[in-house]
Amino acid sequence: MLSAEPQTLKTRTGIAIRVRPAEPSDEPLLARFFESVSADDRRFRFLTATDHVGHSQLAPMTECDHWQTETFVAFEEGDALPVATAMLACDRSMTSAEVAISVRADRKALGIGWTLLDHVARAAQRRGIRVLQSIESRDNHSAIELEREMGFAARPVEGDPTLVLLEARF
Amino acid sequence: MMSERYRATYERSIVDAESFWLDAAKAIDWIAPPRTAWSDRSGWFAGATLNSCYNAVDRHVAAGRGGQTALIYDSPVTGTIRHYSYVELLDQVSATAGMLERLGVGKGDRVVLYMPMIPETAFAMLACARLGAIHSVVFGGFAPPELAKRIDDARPRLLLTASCGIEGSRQIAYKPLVDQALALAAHAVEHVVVMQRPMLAAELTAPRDLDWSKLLADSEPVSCVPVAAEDPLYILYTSGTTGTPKGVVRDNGGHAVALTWSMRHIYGIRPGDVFWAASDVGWVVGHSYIVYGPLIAGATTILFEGKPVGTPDAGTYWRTIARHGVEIFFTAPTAMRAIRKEDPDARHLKAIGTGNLRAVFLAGERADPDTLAWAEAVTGLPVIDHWWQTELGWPAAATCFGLGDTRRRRGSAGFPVPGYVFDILSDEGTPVPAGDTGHVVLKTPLPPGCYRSLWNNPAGYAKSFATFDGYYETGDAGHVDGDGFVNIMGRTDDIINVAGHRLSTGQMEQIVASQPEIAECAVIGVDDALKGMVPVAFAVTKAGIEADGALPDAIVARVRAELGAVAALREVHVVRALPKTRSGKILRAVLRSLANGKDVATPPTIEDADVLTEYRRLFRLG
Repeated sequence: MLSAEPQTLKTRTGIAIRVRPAEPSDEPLLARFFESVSADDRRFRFLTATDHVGHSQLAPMTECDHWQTETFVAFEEGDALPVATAMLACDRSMTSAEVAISVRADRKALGIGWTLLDHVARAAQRRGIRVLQSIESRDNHSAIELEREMGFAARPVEGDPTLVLLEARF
Repeated sequence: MMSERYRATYERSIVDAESFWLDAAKAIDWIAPPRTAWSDRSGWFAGATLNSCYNAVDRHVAAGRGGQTALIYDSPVTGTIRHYSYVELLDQVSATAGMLERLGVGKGDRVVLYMPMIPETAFAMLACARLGAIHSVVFGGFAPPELAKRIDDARPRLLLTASCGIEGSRQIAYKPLVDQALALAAHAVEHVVVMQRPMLAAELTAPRDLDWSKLLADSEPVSCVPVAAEDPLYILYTSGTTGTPKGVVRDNGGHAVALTWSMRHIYGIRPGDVFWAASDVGWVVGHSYIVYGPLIAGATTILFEGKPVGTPDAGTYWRTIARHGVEIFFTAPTAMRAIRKEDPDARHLKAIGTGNLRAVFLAGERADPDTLAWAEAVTGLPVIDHWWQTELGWPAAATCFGLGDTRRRRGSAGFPVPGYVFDILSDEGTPVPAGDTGHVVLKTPLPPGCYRSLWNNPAGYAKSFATFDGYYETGDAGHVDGDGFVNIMGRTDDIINVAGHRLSTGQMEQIVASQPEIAECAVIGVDDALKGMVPVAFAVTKAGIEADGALPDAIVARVRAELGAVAALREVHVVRALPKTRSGKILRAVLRSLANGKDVATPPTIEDADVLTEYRRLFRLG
């Protein structure tokens, strides 16, 4: 049984983040969160450029079964607006999964992305996932670097020269 | 062996770059000649001074070639042909510079030009160079919000425009667009100078708006102002990802040296030869090869106001080539395709002949082998694809026809041009096995003429040099084949190439997504027989909103109003859902493939394979 209790994690820079699963009631919160993500990072998250992220994109993130699909929301002490989100989306057989992370523009380069990715990778492993993938725009240099550092291997995506697939096998 | 000169030249340019470029610099008239070529601290030809306008105009008159034709204005849309000798060009340019100087323009000041293809545009560009001012030409096909963004970034003292441009048979009034742009912009220009054309009178509002011809009649000629080699000559904005345009800054010294070198050694042009680049001065091809390149080289250049077809017909280009004795012709593959579509048997060409033409160069997008084969068959001449970018300012891959090399391979952009070192790197930054596709990168330092900054955007500039240590990231993917031919295959970012023009799909998406009825969308480049690629939008309406027939048109109009005619969406498909991965990332390549009429195997990453059913029906697949 996976706990819905928030967990506190610490980044390499000493920042404490409280991580909990998202609920449908979090939709307005996530809408505001994505407004504070940079335009580039919004584009990297959804692979389309948009100024606002709406219901059609948020509902699949928040209306999840907490098993096959999970969206983690991370907060810093005293800040009601999430500092980052991470979605873990598994295939039906629970053997492979996709991870997608976004970090608020004003809290980047602080190790939050790394800590969250590590957290998601562990959660995936506990659920029996063997292959964890991240589909990145080639432009998303910082995410690609981070994932590589964590041990993900990069592969071209067939038929799309603008993307790179990063994969970790457990 | 025909490629020996090229090989030896290329070798020397890399192994002994310093003396190679100092030698090349001798073709330019300097006020203070360069003593070094490259300096890590100060760039190309540090310490040297010159004036680009002097090199393009005055020095030819001083050398006794004032009577030679410098610029031919050929405008089938107005039925006008005018010849300007170098002396006449000097008169026009120095008077225009006098006009600008009277209005307060001095060294380092920016002047934005939003102008059609008329001689005054070229005069004004050279006039800015004469004063050491920095021009920024904005292509007339951009809408007011785009012009406003550039005005706010460049913060010009003046804006120069004309009463109208001519698109085929239609007049486009420029002044109202300028007025709208200035109303949107935060920055205020001191004056708007308007060239009133006979076919349309623009409304001028004093004291801001001034009449070009009246001012010009009252001006005195002025001399060339010395500038440092590294001083900016112009800012040219090019599409950046997610729509913030990048202001590419070109310097005076490196640019003059590189363009002169390229005119002789790539294009095979000598002083007095006739050269025609059929482009628009709003693009880098127009800057480099309608205005600066041919004139600095002392050739005759053609400023053509018309289209490859319809003004009046598919014979226009051949007629113009024959009429003016054009020896080297430069156009975009899309123009060749348009001519072929209208006249597949090249009846016009057969009737007119190729005159003095020695070769045709193509650039702007990859020349598809089919079009190349047709062009070579009907002209009987070398048709040479080559490759460069706004950032570089002159070709990086080409067949150096001027060095006697004629080796070509259809689909390839040719060989590395002297001064440029290509590498193809993997995502990890290591060279890929020979022949494999990877990131196309150029070793730094880039040769003279290549950009050394983005206006107001050092972070943006640094980004292009940050991914692969010691290299400039071109943003293109490609490979080098077993014989050394460079193949540029496509962008690795959201930039697409429509009729040879660079557009950001991200910028178009932001605009489509801002349509109130739309929940989410994707704008994809779809293959097009004529334009190479056209932008197509896929849009999902918000829950509870029924799309009516007017919605696609409203979206097309919205993009046109925000971006301009240059970014016209070919089609808007309102769909039930977009194909996505499980995390919600849009599967753009799937959309592209289906829209290109190619069915796809269901991707393993797709969240809901049933979504594809709607697309297969839409594109009549499977």
